[in-house]
Parts: sequence; C-alpha cells; structure tokens
Amino acid sequence: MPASVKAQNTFGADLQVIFVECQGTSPDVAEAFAWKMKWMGNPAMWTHDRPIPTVGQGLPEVALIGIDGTVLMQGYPGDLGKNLEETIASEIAKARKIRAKEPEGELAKARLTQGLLRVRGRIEEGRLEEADQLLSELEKAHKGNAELALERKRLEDPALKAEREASKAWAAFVARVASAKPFDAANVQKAESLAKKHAGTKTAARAERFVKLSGVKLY
Amino acid sequence: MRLLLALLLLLVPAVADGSKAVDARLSANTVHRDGIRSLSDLRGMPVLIDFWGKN
Repeated sequence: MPASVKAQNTFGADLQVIFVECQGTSPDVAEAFAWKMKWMGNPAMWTHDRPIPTVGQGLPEVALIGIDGTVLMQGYPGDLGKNLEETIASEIAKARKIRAKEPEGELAKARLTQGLLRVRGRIEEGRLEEADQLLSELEKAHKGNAELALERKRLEDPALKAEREASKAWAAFVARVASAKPFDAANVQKAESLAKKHAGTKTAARAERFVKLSGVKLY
Repeated sequence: MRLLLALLLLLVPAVADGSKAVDARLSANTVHRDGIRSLSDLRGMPVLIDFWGKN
C-alpha cells in the first residue's frame, strides 16, 4: 500500500493507481483509515469493487496493467520487488515514445480523451482547482483544441466563482494535511471552518465528510 | 507423458488470458473516480491496482 502511494506520487499523471478495498470494510471506515494512514491527497482512485479478480490467497496484492490493457504482472508486492517499479517506468517511457512518434496516433488521442473525461469529472465533482491544473496541461499539449476551449469556458463561468474559491482553499488544505496527521484536532477544526465559510458548495460537502470521517472509530 | 500434456493444456488458457486486454466498469461507488468510467478509459497508461484490506 505505501509502495503504491509512493508510485502514484513518483509517476504522477503518467500512472493511475486504483486502490481496491477487499475485506468488506464500510466505505466510511475504509476512507477514514486511508486518511489516517496518510494515503490520501494524491490522484489515486478508490473503490470497493474489484476491476479484475485477485490471483493470490491473501492481501495485499497488486496487479500492473500495461499501456495496451494487458495484465503484465500480478501477485504479492514483496515478491514483485523492484521489477514492478521498473516495469511501470518502462511502460511510461514506451507510451511517451509512441505519443512523440505519432502525435495524432491512437495513444495521443486516448490521452486527450482521458484528459477531457478527467476535466469534466473534476468540474462535476467541484474539484475546480484540479480541473484547472489539468486543463492548463492539456491546453499546452493540444493548442487550439475546440473541446478544451469549451471546458475552459465552462470552468471560468462566473456562476462557479464560489465553487472555484472553495476548491482552491480545499486543495491547499489537503496538500498541507494529507501527509501530516490529517485528523489532528487543528486540522479538523480548519475543515469545519472551511465547510462553514464555503457553505452550499461541493467543497463544503467534502469538508463536512472529512470532519465526519475524523470521528470514525477504526477498531 | 499424459500427465504432462494435461498440465500443458491447463496452463495454455491461463497464459493466453494474461495476454488479453482487460476491462471493467469502475463502480459508481468509487470514492474518487476522476471522471474515469472504466479501465479502458485508462488505456495508454500503466494502471497499478492495489488490493488491500485494513486487517
């Protein structure tokens, strides 16, 4: 688990980590546990449904899916060792090489499509600060793209001003607390005040959830 | 020899399955979906799935 968090932080947007809770722990407990263990605050995705079956008898287990969608390796993380990180790096290098060679190729198109999905998802979730960061990166790589221009217009809609401010404050809060005792009393108090200050926004709901999770008993 | 052949026949589908592209819808219950709906939306980048449990 910490190795996957490290991989997500190391490889950033070139890797997608998906954490799959496999013991039927309730969503609140699982999420509170993840915060407490300092595993949140990165682009990893979290789910309770297994996108692919496990192959071993116990946990933890990891599976690496390559850029072509095939499972390259799967098993106990300790058994895969450094080979796992090296294969991730190699897949990223392979993808970059293909995209550079074929800027209008399938892989480059898939990257743009995926970026648009993420931007739209973040806007819908009220994560406007993160949407803005990603959109800026996409705009640099795909100058003059009409779909991106449309998302930029949507993101800068004056009606989203309150959401934008709330999202910016929340992103700064998460960046500060995620890896430093998230549920410390002072941090929970700050989350409470953010929820009050930005009441009515999607970020406020996120802050209220954080406060609720801080009170979840883990054992 | 028969046993070896039977073992090989058992192993072939397992190897073949490993080389097939996998896909799955990502549940609406996902805590942080980031706009991604299925594994195929992530095609073109490596995906690391970490199966974990609290206990």
